[in-house]
Amino acid sequence: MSDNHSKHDSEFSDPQSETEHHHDLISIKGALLVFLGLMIGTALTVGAARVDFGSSLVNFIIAMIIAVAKASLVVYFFMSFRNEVRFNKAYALSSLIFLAIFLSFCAVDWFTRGDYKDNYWSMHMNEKPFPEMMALQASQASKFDTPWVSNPELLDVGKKAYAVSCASCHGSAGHGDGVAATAMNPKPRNFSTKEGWKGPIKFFHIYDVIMKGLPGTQMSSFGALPPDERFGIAHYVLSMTGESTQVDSPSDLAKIGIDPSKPKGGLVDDRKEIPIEIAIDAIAVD
Amino acid sequence: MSNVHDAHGSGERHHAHHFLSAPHEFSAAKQGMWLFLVQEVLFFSGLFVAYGLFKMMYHDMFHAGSKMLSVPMGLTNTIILITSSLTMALGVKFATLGDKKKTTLFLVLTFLLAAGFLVVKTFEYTGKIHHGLLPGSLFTDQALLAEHPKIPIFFSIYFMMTGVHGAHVIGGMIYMLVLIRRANRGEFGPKYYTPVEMLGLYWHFVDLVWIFLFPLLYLVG
Repeated sequence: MSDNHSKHDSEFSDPQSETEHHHDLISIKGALLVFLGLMIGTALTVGAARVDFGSSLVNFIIAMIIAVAKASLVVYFFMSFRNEVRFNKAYALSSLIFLAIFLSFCAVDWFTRGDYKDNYWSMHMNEKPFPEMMALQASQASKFDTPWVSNPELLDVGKKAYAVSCASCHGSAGHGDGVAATAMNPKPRNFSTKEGWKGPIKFFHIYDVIMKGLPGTQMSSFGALPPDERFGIAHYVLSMTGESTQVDSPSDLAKIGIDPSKPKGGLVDDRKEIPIEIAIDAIAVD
Repeated sequence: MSNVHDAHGSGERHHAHHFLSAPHEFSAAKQGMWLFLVQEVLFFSGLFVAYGLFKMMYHDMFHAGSKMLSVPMGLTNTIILITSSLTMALGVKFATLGDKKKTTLFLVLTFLLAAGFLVVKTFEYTGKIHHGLLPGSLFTDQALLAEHPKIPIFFSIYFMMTGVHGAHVIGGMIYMLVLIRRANRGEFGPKYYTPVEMLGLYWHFVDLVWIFLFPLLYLVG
């Protein structure tokens, strides 16, 4: 046994031999210097946090830079990373790679959610979550002058948007038989029959449901869609029902905030996206 | 140095039978420790991601919650932990030099600093509990709640992050007690100091987590 051991001993550099441990671990003076560095770093962190740089983001970035510097001191000297064998260095660094993957995937998810994020909240909150946003969206004008009147171009926009936003539940032909419909109770509306409708089979009612969703069902608000798509989908769905496509009366249109006597129905001709400040406020308020 | 020799006759601790040699055992232990620390990074990073997401979602609420924490107490604990990292590093150093007395002394100092950290933490927690600044439905500060309805989320994150970190401190202290006893018996010397070095790595990691927690929670929240 012991012969066997001594034969193999030479294969490992002996990290605990008298000659090596002096390089292996930090000297007492070195440890005190690192300690001093960490204390200075702490003072800088607290000091910098008290300065107003105009944006809290600057404070945040400065604090993180100092924290990373302090952490590096700890890892490099106190944890003897500098003298670690390459294999363990690779281990230690791999944690940073995993961390980067974790953070970046979460960031990608967060920053690309867009409309889904808004819909998610509308879907799960009974009260109206974004009063300001909803009001803003509802008042946005379409690029068409009279979007409450169907036209071929609007129908085409609606058909395409329907395929993206509606077909997964309502089915591509509107029979309420989309892929996702199997798991739903109540089932999504079958547009080809006249049973079960919660309102008149008219343009204004369909548009209203698109904007607000139907409480107690899986039909959530699609108010975050661009105005042309909302109007287009409403016309396209109406065309699927086979009902007459005659223009709704002014009193019906008033229920969805449209005044046909005004240009663009009195909608705001501002087709910019929701300002980010309002979106953040709305999120914070809810 | 002589203590090590006295305690074990040969002066060498015999390595476990599944290792080829003492250095082999040492390097395996160290590799295992690094692996453990890698998963610790991932363990904590989940909490940091939660912090980041909620901070982005409820920016003002986070700021208001952060304002309720005591910077002097957080700063005191930062200084305590950094000092304990120094005493830990010195403890390991003296273990490699075979200085039984100083190894024991610095391990005891580290233990006392860790206990000090927990005492400050206890004062902080007691204050938060007293003012009803607690997670979820336990939160009772109506004035804050009226202004920031989601503010209990901040305290969920605060208690979760500092609590998990505190558990790490307690865990380290328990093993520290074991090693203080062993160091006092003269078990460690230039030929064998593996447990002290491993505890050192762990303890520096605990310090490292706090280096991030302090600014994130107390200063720029």
